[in-house]
Formats: sequence, structure tokens, C-alpha cells
Amino acid sequence: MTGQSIEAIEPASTRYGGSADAVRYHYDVGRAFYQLWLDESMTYSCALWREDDPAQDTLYAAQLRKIQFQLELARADRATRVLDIGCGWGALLRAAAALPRPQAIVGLTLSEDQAAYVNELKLHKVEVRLESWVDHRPADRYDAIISIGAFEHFAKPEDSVEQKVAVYRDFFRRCRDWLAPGGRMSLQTIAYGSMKREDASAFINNEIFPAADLPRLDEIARAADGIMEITIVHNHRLHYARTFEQWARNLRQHRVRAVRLVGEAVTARYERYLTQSSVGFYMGKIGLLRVGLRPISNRWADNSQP
Amino acid sequence: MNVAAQMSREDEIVAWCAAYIGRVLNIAPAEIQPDDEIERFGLDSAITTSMLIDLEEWLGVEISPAVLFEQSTLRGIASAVAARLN
Repeated sequence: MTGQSIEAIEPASTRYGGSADAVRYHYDVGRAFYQLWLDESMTYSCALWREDDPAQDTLYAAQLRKIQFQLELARADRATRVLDIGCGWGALLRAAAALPRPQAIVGLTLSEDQAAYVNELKLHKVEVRLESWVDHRPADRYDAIISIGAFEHFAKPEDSVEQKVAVYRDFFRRCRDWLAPGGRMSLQTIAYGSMKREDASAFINNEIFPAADLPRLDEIARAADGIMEITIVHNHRLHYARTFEQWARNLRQHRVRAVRLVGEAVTARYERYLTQSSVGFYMGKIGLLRVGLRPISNRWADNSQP
Repeated sequence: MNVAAQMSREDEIVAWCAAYIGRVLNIAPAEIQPDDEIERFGLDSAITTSMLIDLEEWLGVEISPAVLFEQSTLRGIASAVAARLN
């Protein structure tokens, strides 16, 4: 089991969704700019606010809570090898590295700046790779796979629904093949809610996230069908409304510095995008899914394990 | 701000929002009642965002989306926003 290289699944000849250029367009706008409005862990995804009194949470605390939630869902605490697909600026990698059991933690990103940042952290047991999951060839199986805020980039706006499902299916198939027996996956992604794909915001599609298209929950379920068993789905839409609201507030507080860094036009563009995203979540146009998955196995012994 | 001043501020904000919505959606402002359920007007996220940003610029105060979405009418929004002014 260990020491065997994982054979390549059929070569990915298809150019999937978020090309490296498209991802870089968004994430390489400048680390210093993102640092103005993200929390100190540089976590650029939906936080998890405490239920009883969300206003008592700082953004940083809510991001840490989200990271713990995702690590638990993927059972990273029991894992020897952990994979983070779309590792961003490494907040989850850092949290995984602090767990006693994991011995190898691999993060994938398409952003050169993010890879450089994670390398600068010099985290013990962590390797960051400037690589897509399409090109990833694991040295060994993983026990836990986490993917937060990357799935939204897998499909292109011009893809048909069938093409979208095919990409997602390929993703789930690889993750299933990469997981050791008992392995688990946690996925976090924005998804269409009441909004139809055709009504997606031209502003956000053109100015903020070119070449990206959101999944629908049914597309995720269809893609996982027969490959991964979905164990749980949360829709934490209002958590993202609050997260974007806080980011917008942070950017406004640091507006002068923002304009000095990236200029008035880019600053105004981000103010609009952060506010409009919050509004979209409040309106239910879009949702935020946190999904737990486990491989479907033929082995009775595997399937009977909780 | 005393109650009377706050109420007239509120009316001003209602009028501003009604004019804004009327302009953007091509509805006569007279058809936009302050006590109508706001979803009746069919504002999408882009228009709502623009209105929010312009409202903030006009009043010089920060208004988070939560303030808007806790209300169901223009009057409710205007009242919540007026309470933030001094």
C-alpha cells in the first residue's frame, strides 16, 4: 500500500476552468492589498461564526473556527498525510501542521504569490506546490483531503452543464483514488442558490473572477454519484454574507492605504465586489456549501466503518 | 439628533431611495410606497449595491448590508439609516 506510486488516471487533455492566468488575475492583485482587508491568517474564504452571538467573534476567530471545522470534517487529526487543494496563503496548512498525527501536508495552488508566501512561512511538514489538481501525482495516498474555495474555479462560463459535471466528476474520481481506506474529504464552495447561471453578475464575472462559473448543488451530487458518498451538506450562506460584510468594512477602514497600493479604480472595484457579494448571500442568490465526502468502496469492511 | 429632526431625515431618505429606485427601474416614484414590501420592486444585487454605496456617499456614513436586510420596507431602511446619523 505505501511506497507505491499512484498511477496516472487518463491524461487530462481538457483545459479545465480556471486557467492559471485567470486565477492569477484575481489572487496576484497584490498581497499587500489583500492584507488590508483579510484577517491576519490571510484566509480568503467563508468564515464560521459562532451561533450564539456572532457579533462577538472577530473575523480571525471565525476563520480559525472554520479551519477547525474543515479539518474535523476531513478527519485530519487522524491523518498521516493531508492534501489541501487550493491552499491559498496557507492558513489551513499551518493549522494542520500543528496537529500531532499528520506527517506530510501538501498544499496546491495556482498562484505564485501564494506559493511564495507559504514557502516563507517555513512550516514544518508542509510542502506547497504550484500545481493544479489536474497535474498532481501524489507520492502516496492521503488520509484527508480538504478543498476550500477552489471548486468555483473548475468550470468555465461557456461550459455546458454536462461539461461542468464531467470536470467535477474527474475531480471526485481523483480524490477518491488518492484517499487511503478510511480517508475523508471536506469540500467548501460557493454555489448558485436562487440565481440562475444566466443571471450571474456581469460585473463580477468580467472584473473580478473571469473564467469562473459556480456549481449548483445538484451538479455536485451528480458528479459525486457512484464515486464519493456525501455524508453531510451544510449551506452556510449567511456566514458568507457576514464574512463579505466584514471584508468590505475592513477595506473601507484602510481605504487611503488601498488607493496608494492599487489605485482608486481597483479599490472602488473591490468595494463594490465585496458589498455586492454580501448582498447576494443575504438575498439567497448564492449559497455556501460545506460538504463532507467519503469514497465509495466495494469492501464491506470499508463501508461499514462510521 | 432630536426625534423631529430624525423623522424628517427619515422622510428625506425615503424620498431619496424612492427617486433612486424609480430612476433605475423606470418606475414613477409615486408608485413606490415607503411601506410596501421592498422585494416588490425587484431590485437585484447590483442595483441594491449601487444604492447602498450611493446612499453611504450622500450621507457620509457606513451602512452595512445587514442593516438593509433586517428591514422589509423603505421606511424601515430609512429609519435604521437615520438612526446612524448624528
